[in-house]
Amino acid sequence: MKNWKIEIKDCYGEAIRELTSKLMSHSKIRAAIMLSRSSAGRIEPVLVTSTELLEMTRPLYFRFVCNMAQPVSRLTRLGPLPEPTLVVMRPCEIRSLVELKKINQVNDSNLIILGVDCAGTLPAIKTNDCSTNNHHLKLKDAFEKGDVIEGGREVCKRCISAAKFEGADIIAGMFGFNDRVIFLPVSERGNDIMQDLNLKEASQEEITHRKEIVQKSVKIREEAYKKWLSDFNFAKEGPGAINSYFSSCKLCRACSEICPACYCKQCSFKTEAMEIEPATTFLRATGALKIPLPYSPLLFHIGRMTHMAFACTGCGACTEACPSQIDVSSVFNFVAKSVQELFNYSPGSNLEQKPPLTVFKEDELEEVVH
Amino acid sequence: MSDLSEQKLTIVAFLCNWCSYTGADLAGTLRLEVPDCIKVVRVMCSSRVDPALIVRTLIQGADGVLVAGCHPGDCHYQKGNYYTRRRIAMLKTILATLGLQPERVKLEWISASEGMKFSKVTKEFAQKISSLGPNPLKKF
Repeated sequence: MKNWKIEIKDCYGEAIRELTSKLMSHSKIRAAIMLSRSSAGRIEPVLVTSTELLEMTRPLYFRFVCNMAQPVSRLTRLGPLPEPTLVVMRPCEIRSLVELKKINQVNDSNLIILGVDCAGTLPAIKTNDCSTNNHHLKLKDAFEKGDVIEGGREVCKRCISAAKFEGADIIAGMFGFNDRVIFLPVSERGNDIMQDLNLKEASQEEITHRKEIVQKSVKIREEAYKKWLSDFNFAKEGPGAINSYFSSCKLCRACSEICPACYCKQCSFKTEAMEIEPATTFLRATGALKIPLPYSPLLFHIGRMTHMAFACTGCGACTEACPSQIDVSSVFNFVAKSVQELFNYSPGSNLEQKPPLTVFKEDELEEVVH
Repeated sequence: MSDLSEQKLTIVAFLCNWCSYTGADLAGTLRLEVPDCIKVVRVMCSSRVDPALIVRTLIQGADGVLVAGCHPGDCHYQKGNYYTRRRIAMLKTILATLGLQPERVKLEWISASEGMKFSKVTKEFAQKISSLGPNPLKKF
């Protein structure tokens, strides 16, 4: 497979836009899904079908906006898109998409996935310290060095899967460069659509250079990951620790609404199953002297873990959504890690690997029963 | 089990209709001792027990939860108990990771003819919970 490159002036987004525009004008794709700026200034995921409107797109917006797997799932849950569509996704988003595909929540037969190298994103909540231009420079700096963008989210700093693109059709490589983006087709379909676009071919040196910087980046993040793991220890601190962790939770469930792994249309925590006869609750309150209403946040959070921890890809959307600014993703990532290790499961890395609670072996986990 | 009733401890036992519930019934017929802190909930299959329901049981008042089903290979629905085993393994891992005493959750295989085993398992588990004391999650 041949690799391609597009040179840029100011920001990497130019190259993604140019590629999308070329693919559209060569009728390789009919539409594209990526982040875009609305007339109100909102950065939002859009389905765009016109090359003229590509100007407004922000395919590599430096802040976290959403996990793209969620809007793509909502869009294609009922069936495939009618025409080929390019989707720009970061590695964590692709992993979430693969997880959703396993459970038939995505129909990707007309989706072409452009995986973009990721040097992390900044928190969703705006602070005063930023001007967009400045961040473009910071991003370039991060990509050149193989580091995470300055001020990046904690989940990004410790993301050890940032260079895993299983499920992508084309990779947009930016690591190692501040003046170009290289495009590496990784599937048949990706290779096909990249033909005859009048792009410059990327040299072998460029590919090798990117690879080196990617490895450097992975190393930096693995260090951060190890440090994070050693700092985080609920097991030692006892039952009170997790309770105080969620002490400012208002049970708004925003974390679950924004979570790509929480795909249920009706969350079980909102169903009749959670409604109890008033007399029963009253009786329970009489015995316990006092009970929280409607129920303890811990019940929601641990309950949610039992439903989705195996599929958690560590995108950190939950932390960004939390109005109480609880670092939800840290504890979910931490639990997800142990659950995924238990089942030797790596979410989003292989479409053939079935979700762990839908399969079993006859002789396993015998130590659980005693 | 007087020490248990003094502590007012509660153990909720989710028993599968086809094996474990019948096993518990047999224990009664044989007049075997079963601790009175055991509150039985009959379910059609042990795999019917959502791990989140166990969490709820623990947070909303129980000191221990026993889930009992048919022996592997004997499930009335062929493979329900294998799924149960995975779910309980996952739940225990989550609880252990969060420092929440996974030993308060117990999975056991009890067949319809094992009245003796039901009595033994419940007595041992009640003893275990008694030594652990009241469940701290109840206060949350």
